Amino acid sequence: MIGALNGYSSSAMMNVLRNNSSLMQDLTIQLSTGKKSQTYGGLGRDVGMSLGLRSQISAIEGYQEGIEQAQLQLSMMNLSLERIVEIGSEVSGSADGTQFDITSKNQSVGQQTSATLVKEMIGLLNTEVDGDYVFSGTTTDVAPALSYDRIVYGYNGQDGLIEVTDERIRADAGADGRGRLGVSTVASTMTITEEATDFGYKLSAVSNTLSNVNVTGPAGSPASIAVDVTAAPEQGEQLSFTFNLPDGSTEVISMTATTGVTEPGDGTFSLVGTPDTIAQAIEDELAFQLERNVAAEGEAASRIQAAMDFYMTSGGSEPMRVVGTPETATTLDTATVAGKPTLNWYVGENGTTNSRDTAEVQIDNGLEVSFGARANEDSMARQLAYMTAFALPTYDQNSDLDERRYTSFADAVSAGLSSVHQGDVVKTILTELGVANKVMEDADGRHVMTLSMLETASDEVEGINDEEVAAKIMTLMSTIESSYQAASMTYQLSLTNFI
Amino acid sequence: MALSRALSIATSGLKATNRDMEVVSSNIANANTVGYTKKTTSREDMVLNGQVTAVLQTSVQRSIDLVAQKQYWTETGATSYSGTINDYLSQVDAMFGQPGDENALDSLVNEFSKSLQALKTSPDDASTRLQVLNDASVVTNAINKAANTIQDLRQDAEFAIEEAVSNMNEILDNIEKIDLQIQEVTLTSGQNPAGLMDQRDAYITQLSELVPIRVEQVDNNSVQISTTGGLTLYDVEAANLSFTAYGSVSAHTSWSNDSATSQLGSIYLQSTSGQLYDVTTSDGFRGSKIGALLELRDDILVEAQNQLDSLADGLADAFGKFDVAGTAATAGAQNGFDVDLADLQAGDEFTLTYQDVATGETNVVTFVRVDEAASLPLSDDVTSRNDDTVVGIDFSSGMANVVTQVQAALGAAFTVSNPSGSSLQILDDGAANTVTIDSLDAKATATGLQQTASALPFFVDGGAGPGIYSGSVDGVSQQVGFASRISVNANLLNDPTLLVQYDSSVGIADQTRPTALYDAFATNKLSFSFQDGGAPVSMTVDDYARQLISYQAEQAATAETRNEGQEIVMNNVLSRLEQSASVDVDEELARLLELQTAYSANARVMTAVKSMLDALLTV
Repeated sequence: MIGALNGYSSSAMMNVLRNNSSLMQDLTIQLSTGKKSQTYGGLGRDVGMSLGLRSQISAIEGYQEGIEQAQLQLSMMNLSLERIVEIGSEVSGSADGTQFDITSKNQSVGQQTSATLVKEMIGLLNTEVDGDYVFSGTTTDVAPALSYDRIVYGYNGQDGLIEVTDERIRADAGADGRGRLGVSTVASTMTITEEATDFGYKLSAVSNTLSNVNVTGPAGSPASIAVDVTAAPEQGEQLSFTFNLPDGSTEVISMTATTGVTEPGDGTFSLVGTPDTIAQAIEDELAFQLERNVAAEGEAASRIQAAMDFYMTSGGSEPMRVVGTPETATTLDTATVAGKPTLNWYVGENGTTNSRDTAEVQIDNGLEVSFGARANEDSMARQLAYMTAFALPTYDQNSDLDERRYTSFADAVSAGLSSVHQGDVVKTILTELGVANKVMEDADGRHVMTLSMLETASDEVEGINDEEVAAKIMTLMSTIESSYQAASMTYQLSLTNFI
Repeated sequence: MALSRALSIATSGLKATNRDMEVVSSNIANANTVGYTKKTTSREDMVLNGQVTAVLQTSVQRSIDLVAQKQYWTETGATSYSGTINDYLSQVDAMFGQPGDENALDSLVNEFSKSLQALKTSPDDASTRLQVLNDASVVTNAINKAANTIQDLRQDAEFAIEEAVSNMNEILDNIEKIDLQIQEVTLTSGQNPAGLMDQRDAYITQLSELVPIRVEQVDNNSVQISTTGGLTLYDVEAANLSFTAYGSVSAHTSWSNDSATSQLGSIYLQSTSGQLYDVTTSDGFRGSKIGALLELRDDILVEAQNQLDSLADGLADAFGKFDVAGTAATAGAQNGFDVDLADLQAGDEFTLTYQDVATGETNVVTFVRVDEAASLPLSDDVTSRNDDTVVGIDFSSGMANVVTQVQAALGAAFTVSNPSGSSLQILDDGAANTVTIDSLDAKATATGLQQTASALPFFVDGGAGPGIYSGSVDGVSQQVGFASRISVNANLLNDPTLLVQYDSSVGIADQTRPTALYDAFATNKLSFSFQDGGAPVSMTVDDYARQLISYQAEQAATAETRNEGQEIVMNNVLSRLEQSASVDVDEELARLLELQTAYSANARVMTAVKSMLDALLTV
């Protein structure tokens, strides 16, 4: 209650007028800043809500930034990986065993293409996004793959793939070129025995339709097969041996009993003679075919396996080497154990964690997506191994043996690269990253919705309603005007003015 | 003779009218003077031998509603109390910034959280790493600044109390001087020295702003003034109060009623014999400016500082502390745990949880490392949790001594030993089965940047020589005032890759440490003490930062609302007082007309007497 004005002034009246004008000032500030208050205190009870909303908004903005960053990286990775898949098919297609056309460089066009594509693939694996190598696990400051030349020829005292391959071929072939198998005949029994070594051909199975011939094995350790001839078999009956090659492929050597003339390597043996003679004939044919096989298919297998051992270094492992002199070596072990410094083509981080988990992004509350990658993931290393191996050997257009070598090698590479034969193909990585991308997109869509909701809520708490404040100002203005008017009129009504 | 009597009566009438005119003109002139009360006069006729001989002006009276005046004084105190609190708290509120502004403390905290999140996504990006450190520095700066603001406000309050006390003394001296004159005038003239009383009341109004007062009217228009708490301020003689302000207010300085240890000023009442009585503690100052200042200095602002310290402590702990898990150990039928105490720093804790088999109760004993025996024993307040028993363990004399201390604290039901190195083993009593040990874990402070993957001394104590913050309780608790010293580890600023590479062999895109940092800030809950003696709250560091802002903002909002309410009350009281005491110019002018008429009437009488006398003389 404010008393009637008496005399010149009233402090109480002044206070009321002053309050009105400071309220006016406050409203004007509100209107010009769009904020309900200049301090948190002014928000009153809503302060907790305002702070909570702001922190949620900030968190979501953080998620969005993460998603943006990750998606940029993902799109670059996608491009690289798509090209890598393409490269695989290209090499697989051009490694055609039926066409033995060797250029002046002693290589087929397919081989030369393969070398170029290996270089391209290395470039792709060294893809950078914003200065970070995306295929380098957690060491994104390091270009993960070394150059083609270093990989092939070695560098700084470390052996390259050529040396590794060469040793492997020698180790698998053995000094006699029989794939580390011993073939001998004593009286009427021919025996084929594996050497106790990690290298060379291994006995897988034997199938026998020869009558009067007892085949035992493969049995024992090292495994051996004994072919015991008790009497002459019938014409046309067959004996075939199945071998496991170093790269896991199999080769079959068969021979048919015949009464006619036989030539070494024609797949026949003479059934004429004593059991001792027949056993010796079997041995001769087997040894001939074996040597021929080792020189072509065996070499192809060794090349592929050597490249695999060289490239497949995921999970922190290093290239595998032949320990000791290749021809007599018995074990394959890491370069360190073997004492043969070998170049490790992948120099990025190489831990045992899942490659995908080397980069994670939190895209929502409690939702993380992995999108990391390493260049030496098995699928990519395998592809590189086939491709580089294919690019190495040289051939002589005029050599029959070289044609056999090329044909078997090209077929093996082509088969190995076609995705049907790969357990873990590059496409799988693409799919995994695609899923990650989808999850991120979904989350981003959600964030956009949530964000606009939160911002609206935050505006409601902190912001003002322009119309409402304007209306308040209008009301207040007329209040102030009329009260000033009234006050001034009241003061006019002083007797002072009338005497 | 009748004519001469008429003349003298008329003269006295003129004189009285003159006197009235004086009062009226004084009223009009002082209509706007603060504290001026309307004066009224009264007359009486002088009767001599049954005949009127003159008109007399008896005295000038003040027109005032004494009840309203008392209420006015009370509300003046209350208003200055709420106004002072509001002034200070609005500054505390303002230091957190404008809602939504990018420099508001919560925005800074959010930014830091966001950049930690970005670091988690791209640890290999140099600018992201730098951003984390920049944002952290900005947050620590904001906390430092807030803590400094709070201490500046406490310092302000300290000086303001000094000023208020010295004002109070001056006012009391003036009151004494004037009141003595009032008594003298009243005694000698029997009149009311209205002007003096106005002046005295104006001083009392000033006094009522500073202290809550009670005013008693006593004989001879004198007054007695005491505080509402009963402390006499003026009774014939003015009390003398003293206050010496300390110029170095910081988080470490606190008031104590023991003058030897108090680091802040106390208000003393000086008796006539020169004896000083500490009156700071008395509730006598509540509800006035001085009361508000004391409350701010010793209570409200201290709480705000504690909350900031708690936030700084939380930040340092979240990033710097790591768990050392106990490993189960047995010896015969006895079961228990081993825990390695090697990494514990002063202030770090290891906690034993066991069950009392007889009662089924779970007990928690928190052992806190101290490095000086003088720091023992520790109070239970050292940890924020309320359900534990705190035992300080002096590590300065080696493990054997630690074992002895732990054994002594736990009693015979436990077997404490040091199996090897710095490992501590606590076993239960086996077959007797009176206790079962649930767990024995330690929390250690990382001192090296590459000591463990999950923790690093991200925030350090930038006080006297940058140091590791471990929450040491040796001497003065390290947490006190930490808010003004917390800073980002300079070694980290020199090499931001340490935010990622917790070991030299770790790749630059490794997310282990960034994830741990983000979780430490935004996911892992810590225990914070919020209000003095209140239950601890369990929340993440960034939540706590928001909670703190919210709490302080609400305090400020409450203070403002209270102040607004108080101002309305004040206005009402003021209006009531004004109605009784202020000058109505219209009324005065009307009176002026009346006096004019009276004056000319009296003059007319004199002219009439003169002409009658003339007529007589010409006869």
